[in-house]
Amino acid sequence: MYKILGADGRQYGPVTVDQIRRWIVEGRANAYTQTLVEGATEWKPLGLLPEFAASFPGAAAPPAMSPVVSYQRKTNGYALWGMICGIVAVFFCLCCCLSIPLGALGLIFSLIGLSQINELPDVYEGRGMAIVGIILSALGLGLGIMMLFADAANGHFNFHHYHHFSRY
Amino acid sequence: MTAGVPPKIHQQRPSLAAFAAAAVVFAAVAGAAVLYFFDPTKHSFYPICEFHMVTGLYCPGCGATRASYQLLHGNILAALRDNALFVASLPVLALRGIWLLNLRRHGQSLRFFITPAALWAFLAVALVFVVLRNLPAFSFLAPI
Repeated sequence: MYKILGADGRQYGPVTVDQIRRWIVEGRANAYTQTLVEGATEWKPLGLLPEFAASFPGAAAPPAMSPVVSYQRKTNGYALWGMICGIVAVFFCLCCCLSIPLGALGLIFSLIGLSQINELPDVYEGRGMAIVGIILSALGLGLGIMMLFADAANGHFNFHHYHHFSRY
Repeated sequence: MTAGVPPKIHQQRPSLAAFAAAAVVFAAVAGAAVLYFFDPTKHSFYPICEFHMVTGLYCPGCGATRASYQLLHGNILAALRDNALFVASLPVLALRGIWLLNLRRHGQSLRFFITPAALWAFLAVALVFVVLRNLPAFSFLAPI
């Protein structure tokens, strides 16, 4: 028999294995639900109990749970998105005015990412991506602004001159 | 102890990434509708590659609009000719999307749609691509 801690923070049970499985299917319990096995003194996440392993397909490794500290550093999402914005800003959107907003966005994401990585180097990785993101975003932003001025300085001359060949 | 039924665990709220993805899909559908009916080589209201306008060089995205037009009309070879990198990356992204949907059905998820390794690889490929398509010997990589 098992007791679980529901999403509302209240205890439910004791109930049978089958009842718990039904609750998992109904979305009332998941791998992270704290569970007390009858006779045990310690609450454990449901995903760590072998008898429920079949209920969580694909979760080959038990879910990383507090208080178990995960020793694997994870990629910083801001750094990744900063680099994506930077690549798009430089490579694909020099071609239109998207490179300025994308460059600005990429710069912000990359800087947030880098500061998070610097603050918590044991938790995050992705310093390279943050740095490349900063460089590419700044490049995209700078080139975008330059193009804007070049465009304004040239008036409509370029537009008519190249207009047949320079589609994006 | 109570014999009640625990409440359902609330699903995660849609993330910023999901919202951005929805916006991108919406823009893509609207753009595709315009592209389908207006050939970019015959209409001048499309945005023009300013990089190409100023430098005369092709950026990695040059030809993507024309390639999209050709794809929408089923001309895969013509699309590849306009921008091979763009056309080649579409099925990769689509497969990744199918992969993600398949995982979702089993209650799992991906941490990143685009993994760091894939991003680095793409950066490298794009750098090579942009150099090659501006060389006369590889002019088949430049848009028509």
